[in-house]
Amino acid sequence: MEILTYALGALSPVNLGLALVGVAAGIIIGALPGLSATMAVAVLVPVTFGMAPESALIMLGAIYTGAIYGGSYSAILVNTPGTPSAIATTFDGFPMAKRGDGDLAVTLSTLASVAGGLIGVLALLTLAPLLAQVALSFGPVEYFWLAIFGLTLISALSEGSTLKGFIGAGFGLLLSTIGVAVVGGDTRYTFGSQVLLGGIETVSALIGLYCIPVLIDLVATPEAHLKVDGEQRGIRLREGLGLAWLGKFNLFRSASIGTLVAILPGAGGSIASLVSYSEARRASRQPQTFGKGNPQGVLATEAANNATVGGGFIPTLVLGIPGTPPDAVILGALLVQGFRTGPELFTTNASITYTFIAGLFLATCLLLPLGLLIGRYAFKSIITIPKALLVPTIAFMTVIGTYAIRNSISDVVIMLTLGVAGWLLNRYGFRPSPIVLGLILGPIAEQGFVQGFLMGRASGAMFTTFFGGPISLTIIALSVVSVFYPIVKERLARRRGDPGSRGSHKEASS
Amino acid sequence: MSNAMPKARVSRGEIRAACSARAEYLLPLLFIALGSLCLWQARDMSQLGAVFPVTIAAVMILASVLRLLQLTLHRVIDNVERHQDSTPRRVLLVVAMTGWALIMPWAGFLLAGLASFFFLMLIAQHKPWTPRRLLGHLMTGVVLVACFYGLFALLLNVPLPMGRWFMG
Amino acid sequence: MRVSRSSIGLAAGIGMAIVTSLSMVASANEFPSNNVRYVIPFGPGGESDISARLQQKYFEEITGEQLVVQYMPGGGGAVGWSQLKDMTADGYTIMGSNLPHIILKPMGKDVGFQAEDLNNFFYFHYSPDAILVRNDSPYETLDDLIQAAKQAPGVVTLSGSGTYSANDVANTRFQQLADVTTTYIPFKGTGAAVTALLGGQVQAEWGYTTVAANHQDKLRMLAVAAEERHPMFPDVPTFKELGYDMVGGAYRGMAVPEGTPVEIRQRLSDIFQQINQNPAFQQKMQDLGFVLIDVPLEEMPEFMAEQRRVYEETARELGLID
Repeated sequence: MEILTYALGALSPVNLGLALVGVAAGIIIGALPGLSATMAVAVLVPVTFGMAPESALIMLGAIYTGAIYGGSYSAILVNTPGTPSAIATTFDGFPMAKRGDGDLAVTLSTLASVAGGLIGVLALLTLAPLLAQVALSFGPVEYFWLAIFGLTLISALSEGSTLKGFIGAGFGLLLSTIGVAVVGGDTRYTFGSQVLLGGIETVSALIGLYCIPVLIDLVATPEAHLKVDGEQRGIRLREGLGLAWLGKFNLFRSASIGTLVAILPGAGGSIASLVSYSEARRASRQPQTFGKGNPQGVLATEAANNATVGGGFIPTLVLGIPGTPPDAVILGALLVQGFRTGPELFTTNASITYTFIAGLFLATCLLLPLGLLIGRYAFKSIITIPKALLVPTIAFMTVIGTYAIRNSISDVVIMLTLGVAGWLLNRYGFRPSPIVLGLILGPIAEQGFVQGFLMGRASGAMFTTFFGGPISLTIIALSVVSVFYPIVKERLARRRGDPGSRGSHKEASS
Repeated sequence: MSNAMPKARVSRGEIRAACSARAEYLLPLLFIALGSLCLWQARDMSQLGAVFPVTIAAVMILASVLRLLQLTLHRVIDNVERHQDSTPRRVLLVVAMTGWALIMPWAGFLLAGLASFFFLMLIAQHKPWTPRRLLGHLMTGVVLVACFYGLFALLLNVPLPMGRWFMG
Repeated sequence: MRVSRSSIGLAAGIGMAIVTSLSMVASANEFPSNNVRYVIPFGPGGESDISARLQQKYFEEITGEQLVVQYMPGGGGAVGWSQLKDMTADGYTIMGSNLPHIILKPMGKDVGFQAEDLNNFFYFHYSPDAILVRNDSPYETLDDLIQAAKQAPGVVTLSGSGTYSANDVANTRFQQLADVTTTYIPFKGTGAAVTALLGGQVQAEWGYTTVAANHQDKLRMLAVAAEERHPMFPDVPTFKELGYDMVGGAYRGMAVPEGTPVEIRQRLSDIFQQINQNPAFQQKMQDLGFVLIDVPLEEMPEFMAEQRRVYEETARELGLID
């Protein structure tokens, strides 16, 4: 058990202190919309050049872990996913906060993140070389089908009309084609504007579509942003632990999905948390309560997205192919420090690798006390701050956060435009989530399709290219199930005369 | 925006509009127009670049047509339960934020930030102002803007606009 | 109220004016007296980022000031380059500049900048183009691949990064020189292109020596588009040796906004030339598969003109320009 030796090395007081600072800083950065884990890690890289390699890696891992978790605060408390992987957290987190359970939601997100994070790191430690092969068996065609599968989740996720969900997704997919195309090099739908050449930045679109409508409605009424019960109930840890225990299978399933999907470079966290969310909903006995503040929804997404931390490092460390953008920065830092990825990482450089993994473990464990502490503070400040200060503060975060992504005022203008459009569309029953899903999955679907098409044309067997592989067929089958399962289930329920399914019946939106 | 379930049960054969019944017909038409625009624009693209947007635009138009059909087959009723809140404040918020974004390169981050903070504060306040409350909020606002400035400009090295008016 | 707001504005204005004038007054000898912002017009983790990160350390050793690396990704670099002209021209903002991107991007369409808008002051290295295959590939030599492509035109698939990119250009030139037809499949970035090769979705990849250095255990190169064999891969022939006149790759340098004083540009050029001469830096760059070059300020116009000629030729072939 040489790993134990390295783990003890990670526990030196200096490293412990660095991990503590890293996690805390990560949580705060992640909680601010627009400030991403990528940015947190990138800012830290030059600082780590002066440190011992082990300390540097521990700190990088800590800030990354903290930032991914921190994204859940803004998702729960102001309905703004700080990163694409926190989109699904808004589905149930924000309704919980609205009805006065924001403190419970934050506690649940902390517990789920710790559980998910530990499972992800465990997979990294034990199964990395094996799982890395999964990443390689996913070619363009598989990515294409994966994106299609992601889009079929719309039918499961859309409250209200399914057709409206598909129209919204189409809108999002079209938005994703704006700019210079990666494949083909066409300049599309820029209408002569240079501003749109770089395309619509995903995170600024998230901020616009989710957060601006909240602001717009916030100023319209004198009511408080979140409902607050008279009594202060603290962090409600006992209640949270109870719910987490009830949802232990949910946690494990979601974390496994998170780990597995994160291994695929480029697909990453957003798909992982959406898939585990819809799986949790499908497995639930009360699927109609999802989207209206079901604690299990928060558990599922947060377990999944923190599992992506460990999962994403699998292709990064084993293959040298970064799973997520923050992984890319950390990989760059590794290369600059003179390390090589690949098999050497587990032999010659084993001490560094295992120290890093031990550091991730440490950081994930530190999430529990730090997350509960900072989360409680974040919740308290959101509910006590008067509206006249809350609105400009959130507005401030959206503007500066969007600006900071690529230092561009144009992105801020695009964010605001999408925000207003999103508010109007939402008023007429088009939810933001299908639009965002289209925006995120669009490039994956398109590139996969065109690359697959080119490959098929080269090999002269278009059909086998798209429908030949076992992975493709599995994903296609899953997509079919995901489209028809709700319909079949509803039929069966109606035959049995179960009124519970009425709630999820179409058109039940306001 | 409200996620609340409609209180009145919608009977089968009826569709409750999200807003007004007219808008329910109008929006699919809007998306059909948008899809057609995208199709029309795709004429100049290469085959590889056009295949995806053309497919998506076609699917979107199809879904909109199906939606219109669905609407004509059912009775559409207005949603009378929707909230009627202060629309002027909503518009003001959007105007203030857009103005903020547009003026920031010229006035600089700090000045534009402080000014917008103040305006948004006025827009969000529903209760009457007392001098004490105003002063307190202003102080907090200045401190918050300063904190954000410190975090972004100094710690995270984000190049915040300095303001072309002052740069000569 | 009014008083406090305008006084804040005044104070901010005066403060900014002082900062600006101070940095203008500072002479070239004292430059830099502050941190220098190094904007990479791509996302983190790519080769532009990694080579910039390597320079970072030595820049601090030479000047005592930090080189702060930032990212401005989008549009294959166009988002960053189109904004360079609006940035402060005092030498404290520099931006990564990449060939052939800055020449190919603006061809035939308006992307918000022209190659001439970028005031390059130093080009410091390039990653030579290379054709890579998996270790278990049936293509042992470049000739094997060419034979396969001749027998069945279009069946040999090569992945690469992007359309109208360095890889795309290299493939077009190669097809022309070897008189073959291959299928070039563009991916988003070198990472995705390598993944496709490793996973067996394509038969070969247009990549760089850096990719081979990174995946030594699984990939090998058939030929390198450099003048000489790379010291890390003494067994891999160059295209020139095999009879194909191909030397090229992704060249990287730095540019400043229009209006930056000549002395400052010269000073920056000197600093980065000094970094290029540091043996530790050279070793690290070589280990990663890069090839160092020195194109200082005075040689820049000639270098750019030559590159322009080469790429315009290929661009005609690609149908980018008439």
